[in-house]
Amino acid sequence: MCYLVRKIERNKWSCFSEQYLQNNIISSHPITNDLKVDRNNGLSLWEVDISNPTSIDNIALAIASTRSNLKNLDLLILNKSSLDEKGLVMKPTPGNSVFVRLNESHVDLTVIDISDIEKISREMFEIVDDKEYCIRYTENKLIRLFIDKIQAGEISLDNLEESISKKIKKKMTRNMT
Amino acid sequence: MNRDDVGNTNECFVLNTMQDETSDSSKYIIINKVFQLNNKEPNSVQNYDVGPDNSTMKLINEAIIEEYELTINKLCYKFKNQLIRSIKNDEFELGEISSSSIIFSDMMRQNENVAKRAINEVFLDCFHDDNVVYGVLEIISDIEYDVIYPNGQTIALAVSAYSDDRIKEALVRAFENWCNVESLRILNTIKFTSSWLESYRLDVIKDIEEFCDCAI
Repeated sequence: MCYLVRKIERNKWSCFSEQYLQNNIISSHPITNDLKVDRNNGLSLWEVDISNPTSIDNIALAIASTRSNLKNLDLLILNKSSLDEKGLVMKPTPGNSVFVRLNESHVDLTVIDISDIEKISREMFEIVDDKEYCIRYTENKLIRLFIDKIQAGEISLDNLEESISKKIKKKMTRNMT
Repeated sequence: MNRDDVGNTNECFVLNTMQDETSDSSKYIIINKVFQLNNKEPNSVQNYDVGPDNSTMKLINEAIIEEYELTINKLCYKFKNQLIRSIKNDEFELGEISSSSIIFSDMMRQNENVAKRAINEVFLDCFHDDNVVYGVLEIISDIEYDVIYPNGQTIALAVSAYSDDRIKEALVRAFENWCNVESLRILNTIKFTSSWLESYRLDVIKDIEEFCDCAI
């Protein structure tokens, strides 16, 4: 079964999940912040094999590598067939992470109008408080994963943002002493 | 009046001992104040002899301090207002460097002590505004522990009593970024009711223990 990963800020959703689950109210705060689409109405998602934890870790690193600052990262894992059933359309669009190999697993969900936003946000509210589907990567966990990839020669420190590589170097120096 | 007009040794001393931040106009104000305190006319500078006695030196020092404090207060007021404006307009997207953080780093480069005092005053003036408090936490968490000490840590401790989960999360994130034994000590004294927040706190504690190679 295929799953898709979306980067979110958990606090923006969890504060309103009770309101959704009890009264079916979709709060505008998480939607206007975490469901920003590009000029083509595309919402960035990554395909993932949830039976393989490394696959999720790799996506976490791919997303983290596109940011300018290394902070904790929340990933929400969505069931692709459930989105398909709701009539939501996805099209493969290469990602822009430093992991060239992974960029192929990037897709854009086409959010045509407000009803598509509603469909996807309902999916997200349903699972945001479920530990199995909402995964947090702490800053240190991301650093550890980056170090593994650097040592395996899969990525270079030079390709990362300066503020991110600075933190990784600090940790690597600490590990050596 | 310019430096060439000041022929007296003590007056030169006044000009030379003033802080670099003190502008030329402030230096003239200080000289004028010294004259006023001694009941002399400011324009009689060329003939004025301050003398070597302690009381004159004390007056000079007082005038320097008074003017310096005024300059610092003005700068702090400017920084504070600039920060409040910036924080209120900022989006603070997690994983992106905020424009408020960039502005604050620039202030730290200009005058570290005044910048730290300004962010403290932003917090005190806006402690009732959760959005500003969140912004303050995000800004200080981007600064190294030793650099922002003790202002940042004091603010972080003060917000541990806030009820907003977003603020509590930002608080843990600040200590996560500082990642040292002191942060560990503080994180161990806090507890959250939201399970996801509590789980985050425990994960960060574990991470810091591993990083610092210790447990408390």
